[in-house]
Parts: sequence; C-alpha cells; structure tokens
Amino acid sequence: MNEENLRLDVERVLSGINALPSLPASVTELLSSIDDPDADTAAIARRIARDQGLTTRILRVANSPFYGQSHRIASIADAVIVLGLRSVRALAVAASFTSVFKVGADAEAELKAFWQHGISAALCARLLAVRVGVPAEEAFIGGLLHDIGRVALVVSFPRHMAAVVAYRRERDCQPIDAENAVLGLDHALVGRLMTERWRFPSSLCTAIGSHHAPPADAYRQLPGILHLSNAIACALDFGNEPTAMVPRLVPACWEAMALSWDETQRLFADVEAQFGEICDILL
Amino acid sequence: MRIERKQVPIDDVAPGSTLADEVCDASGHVLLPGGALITEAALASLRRRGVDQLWLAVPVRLDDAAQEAEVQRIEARLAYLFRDCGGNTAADDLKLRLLSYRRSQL
Repeated sequence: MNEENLRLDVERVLSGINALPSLPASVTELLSSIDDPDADTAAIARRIARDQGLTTRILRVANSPFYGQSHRIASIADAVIVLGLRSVRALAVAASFTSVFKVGADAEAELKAFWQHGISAALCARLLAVRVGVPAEEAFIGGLLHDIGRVALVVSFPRHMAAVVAYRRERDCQPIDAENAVLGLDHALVGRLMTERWRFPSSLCTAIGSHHAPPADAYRQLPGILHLSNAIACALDFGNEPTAMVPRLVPACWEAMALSWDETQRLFADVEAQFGEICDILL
Repeated sequence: MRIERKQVPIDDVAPGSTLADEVCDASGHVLLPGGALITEAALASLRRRGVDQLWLAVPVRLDDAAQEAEVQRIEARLAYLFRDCGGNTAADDLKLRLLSYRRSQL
C-alpha cells in the first residue's frame, strides 16, 4: 500500500470517532457540569454514588496519601465536603475513562503505558496549575487525556496507525511527526475533535488540541500547562519505554512558567511520590 | 538515596518505617495505604489481624563504584530521551534539572 492511501481527513476521523463506544451518561453529565460553578452538588454526589465500582475507586483515591487526609472518607458525600466537588468530579471522570478504555489483552501493555504517561502528566499538570492559578482538577483531567486522540486513532484506524509506527521505527522521529507525515493530521487534532464530540468544556478541548503547540497567550494557562506536563512526564520516564522520546519543548512556554530550580526538584519528587499510588487505583 | 521495596517480617519492622505497598486483609479491605508511616499502634493492629509480612520502602546507599555506574546509566538514558532536543534551550534546562534530581536521589 502506498502512503497516499493512508491520508485521513477530519470527516473520516469524525466518522471513526462516532463509531467508538460512547461514554457512560454519568460521565458526560459530570463533564458538562465541570466548569459550572452553580452545579447542584448534592445531585452530582448522588449520581456518582449510584455507581458502586466508581464510588469504590474514588474513595480509594480520596483516602490515599495523594490528598493527605487524616480522617477516613467513607462516602461520596463526605468526599465532596472534604475534597470539594471539583476534585470528586475529576476523580470520577478519570476513573471512568480508565475503565471505558480497557482494551483486550493484545493491546493491554500499550494501553497501560498510555495511561501511565497520562497519569504522570496529570499529576504534573495539577501541580503546575496550582502554581499559576488554573483550576487544578481541570488540569488533572487535561493531563490524563491529552493524548486521547491517539487511542481513538489506534482503535478506529489500526491499519493507519500500524503504518505510523513503522514510519517512526524507520526514522526514530517524534510520534507526532510520523502521524503528520503518514496521515496528514495528528493525535492532538483528533483529541480536540473527540473531546468536542463528547462535549468537554471548551477550554479542555482547546488545550488538548494545542498541547504540542500552545498559543503564546496561553503559556500560563491550560494549553501551556499540558505542553510542559507532557514533556516533563516523558522525561520522568515512568514507562521506561525503549523508544521513548521527549517531545520538542517551546522554549518561550518553559520560560513563561518560570519555575525555580527548587520548584522543579519538588515537582519531580511529588509526581514520583504520587504516581505509583494513583496507578494502582486507576489502572 | 535510592528507595527499594523489601519484604520484612512484621516483628522486624521498626515504628517510623514507610510502607511500600498497601496492606489489605483477607477480604481485600485496605488496612493501610502504600506510603503510610508505620506507628507502634498500627503494628499492633496489623499483628492482631494476622498480617505477618510487610513490604517496606527502604533507603539503600550505593557504594562509590555502583553510584558512578548509576550516574552514567542515568546520563545515557537522559541523553537518549532528549535525542531530538538538540539546541533547544528549554529541553537542555529540563534535562539538567532532572539529572540533578536523579543524582540527589542516589
């Protein structure tokens, strides 16, 4: 097959996305309320509590050292009071996604590596967000899902993505360059299309779509946070992937975040300290 | 200081040690989360519940030769991870900070 046959366009990608399993209604409802300050807290807590599996996982995270609570949190209602609605909602979305995208054994290792990278980026994004005053839980979800477009491509266009992998193996280039060369588009765009289709808050869709090239006026906002978190998570090397490659950083974005030496050392240590625990619970 | 996981009989665990993994009872309920500091009271409680071994996070000090070998391994891995970042000032800065962090952990 020649490379010409493997070009994708937005229309084909959208039809591929439409064929994917849809998100549980509970997750879309949670997502649609995520940037709504007037959301009905009690109703959201009740909705989460109806899902026993989700409740168990949220309580495990809420009681983990990640949140540093000294008292045991025993119910979703308690979790909302102690951690805040935003945190609980973010945990619910994270826990739902990692269970929706559990694929068969053939892709299990690959998918595990995908979520490990997502979780390390999520932890990093959360810490950077706190530093620059961006909502931390939105950053956590953004970090977790920044590469979600890649999952959509692998699931909907496996033949195309096999060619991308082969192209990359031959040239040892950035994955995103291989995607653009073979498909004519990349996972960041697909991630934006996918999250728009799922009615994520628009700030998240935009940030996921621009995590490789954040606009200059958003270096200290969600797009810049995801850009840096992606690179830092990759550099922290949790998966120890044989072909791992730190993505190209936009120097002005790194400079705009203006992290002191000590801040980065603490960031590395905090992400490493929380990583294993969150992986145990979410994966 | 490098941290390793080590399985230790509960009678040899000193209060103030750090758990590497969570401890569950027979029905899978979490008794203590991973990362928890172990107190005297927690040890007594775990013994009562029949726990006889714990996975601890134990600091390990490397000798000079092993430390030098480890630094070389880390430098080589970072050089590989950042192989597409030649001339990128931000990536150089990140790599330098990460190398310093990794060395501080040895």
